Amino acid sequence: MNSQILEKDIITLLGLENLPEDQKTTLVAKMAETVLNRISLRILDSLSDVDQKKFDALLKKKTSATEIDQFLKSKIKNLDEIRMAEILHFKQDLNEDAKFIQEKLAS
Amino acid sequence: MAQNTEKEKPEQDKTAPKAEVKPEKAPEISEAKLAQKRKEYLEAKGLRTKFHGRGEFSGKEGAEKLAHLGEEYNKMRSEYIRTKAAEELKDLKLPEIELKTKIVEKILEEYNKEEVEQEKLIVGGEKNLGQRFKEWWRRHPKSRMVVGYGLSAASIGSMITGQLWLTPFLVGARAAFAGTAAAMGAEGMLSRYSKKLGEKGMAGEFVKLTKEEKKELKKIRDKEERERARRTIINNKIVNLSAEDLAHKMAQARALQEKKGVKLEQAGPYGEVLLALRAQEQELLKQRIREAVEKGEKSKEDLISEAIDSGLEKEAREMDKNVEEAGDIERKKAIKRWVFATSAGAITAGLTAWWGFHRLGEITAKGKIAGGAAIHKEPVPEGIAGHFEIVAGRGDSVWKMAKRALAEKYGSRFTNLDEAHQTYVIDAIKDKIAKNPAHFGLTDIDRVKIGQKINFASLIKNNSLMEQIFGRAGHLTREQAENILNNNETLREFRRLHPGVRLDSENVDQIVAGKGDALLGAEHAAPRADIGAPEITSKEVGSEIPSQTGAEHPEEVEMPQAEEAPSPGTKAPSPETAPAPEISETIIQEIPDWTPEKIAKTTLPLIQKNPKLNTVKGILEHYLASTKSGEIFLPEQNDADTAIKEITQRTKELGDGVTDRYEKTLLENTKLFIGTSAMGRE
Repeated sequence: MNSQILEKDIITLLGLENLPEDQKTTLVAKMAETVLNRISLRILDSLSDVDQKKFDALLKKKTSATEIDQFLKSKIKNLDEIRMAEILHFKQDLNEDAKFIQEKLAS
Repeated sequence: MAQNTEKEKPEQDKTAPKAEVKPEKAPEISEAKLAQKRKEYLEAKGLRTKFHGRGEFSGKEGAEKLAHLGEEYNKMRSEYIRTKAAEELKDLKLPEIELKTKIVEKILEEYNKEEVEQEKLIVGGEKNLGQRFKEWWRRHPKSRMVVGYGLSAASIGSMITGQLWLTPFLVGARAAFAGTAAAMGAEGMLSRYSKKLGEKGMAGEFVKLTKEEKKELKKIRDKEERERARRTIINNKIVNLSAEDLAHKMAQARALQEKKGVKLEQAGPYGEVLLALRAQEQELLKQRIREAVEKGEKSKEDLISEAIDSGLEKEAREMDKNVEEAGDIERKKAIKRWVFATSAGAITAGLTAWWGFHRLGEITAKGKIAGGAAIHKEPVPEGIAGHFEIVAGRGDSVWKMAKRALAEKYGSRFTNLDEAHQTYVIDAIKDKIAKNPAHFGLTDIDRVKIGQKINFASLIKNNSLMEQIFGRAGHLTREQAENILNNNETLREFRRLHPGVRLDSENVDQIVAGKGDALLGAEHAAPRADIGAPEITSKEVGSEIPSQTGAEHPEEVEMPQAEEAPSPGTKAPSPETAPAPEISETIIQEIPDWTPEKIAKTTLPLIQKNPKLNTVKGILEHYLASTKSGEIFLPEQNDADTAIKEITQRTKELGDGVTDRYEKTLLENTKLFIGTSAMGRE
């Protein structure tokens, strides 16, 4: 893992510094959406079938954010770390994949 | 709990080193093959997670087997996505930046498809659970923002160069980053450290009581009184700690914090000791900065840089000790790297936040520190410029020297720019020097002597000016950038064809205008032997003959006309003309605790002052109303796009005064908030 991944803005990592600001924001928002999908999956994957059912019931009831958070934290002890790790893995994956494709297209 | 421990283990597959995929060797992966591997892997994961202790994926061997499967799946997925995206994009003929954007969008599309396929397998029994969960995220934009900030985590370099708006994220993210090691699959090691470095372990050692002190405390019968006495003893010890001891103890505490993955204040009965240590550390730091500024000894950049260096060194030493027993070398290295980077971010963020919150720049300008003595601002002594004083060597020029100074000061922020943008920035610096060469010890901008020193500090350390220059470089249109590159190419070609012709600020214009032939008379011709002369001419000797690849910058280029790209620096507002601060210190101090509601509430008054920002105002008002009613807030995409454009424009209009950065912070946060909220719309 390159430590730059942690330190750098994803836009810089991808060499998109010169993109207009509004396009940068839209792109980061799209990335955030993808990362959220990954985080959701990681969290759901960490729940047993029984807990998935309980969780679904909570979501159906439109339970408050605090209660949802409490439920997840009670079931997954390193919830925050999972969230952060997914962001970092995403940055690494996207950076490597983009670089590879750029090189391939250039060759 | 055993269940949870096991559930974290599958994370290991992600930490496994990704196999390098060489373009020429990438095998064709069919969708069916990928689907099969995905199924195989996720089923294995399910077996291990849900039926812990049984089956072929249980135990240590099972974990290794699963990790191997995960590695295979990740590799296959990556190959599939890369091959597919490259195939679909191969015929596109687009400018580089647009192509890069397309590549990223395509990858994101493929990632999302893959996640959908995974979701089908993971939540097979609860078909709508995934959708419901995503919907929940959308109703909670704060979580979405955290992800956005995570993706935009600033580099240390950009923090130092003044992008304070990311500070709140970094400050807030400290606790979230703490314990990333666990997420990397180091849970086994962490649990060992939990025992070893627990509340009664290292934390208790931070401020030890002597036997005598303990004896004295035992004599006090009343429990509350005894506790008060204990605190007094500890406080006295902390206050009397030397700066070095204190830094050492805090390095230990941070190392512990990383291992435990908890905030300092949650570190059990010793949390208060840790907090007191931290408070004292901050107090000493403030004192040091205040004294240095009063004496005019150091710049903000110098102090931040020093603090990072010393802090990192200490933390790295502590981390070394802590990971010593971890068996896995790769894991050890990875943890060190992660912690090292986050520590750097935290130190920078802490310092920068303190610097900003106390508005030292503003206070200094007034000549006073709140409640303190007047500052006698003395001239900056010579030599402080340090490495921004560049010494001319053989073949040097003002252009080349400016380039080196920029690279040293701004690092990758400058060196990662493409040729056109680098050219623009260097040219802006060179123009500034050309206006007053005597100030830089030059009689002629086109002539530097070997050994001559040029001090770039007054330009390069002027953050306001430099942000303006970088900002304008960032907004070059494609045509302007192409124009610069064409001019560079013209100059390279001229040099290649006429290596003996001396170039200077005047004749460069002629060359790029296609009138270079007129220069081929005797007055500009100079024999190559001049290269070694003690007095060198920047245009002539300033560079080696440009390479055939065109990768090297020419010494001089023509900039676009003013109406196309205003000359950098000419419009940079002076501190006196910069917009007045609009945010109270109270709000500034609350920044680290921002919630979307706070962002909306604090941003709204600013937006209300600007009638152009009606859309943003409308969105935020709607947001505030919907927060109360509990409805989902999702701005229309069109509104969000307009709002983002308006905020971007407003941000651009702001100067770079210390307080303006907070307004920028608010606006940037709002922008991201609107962006991520709008993305939630189905």
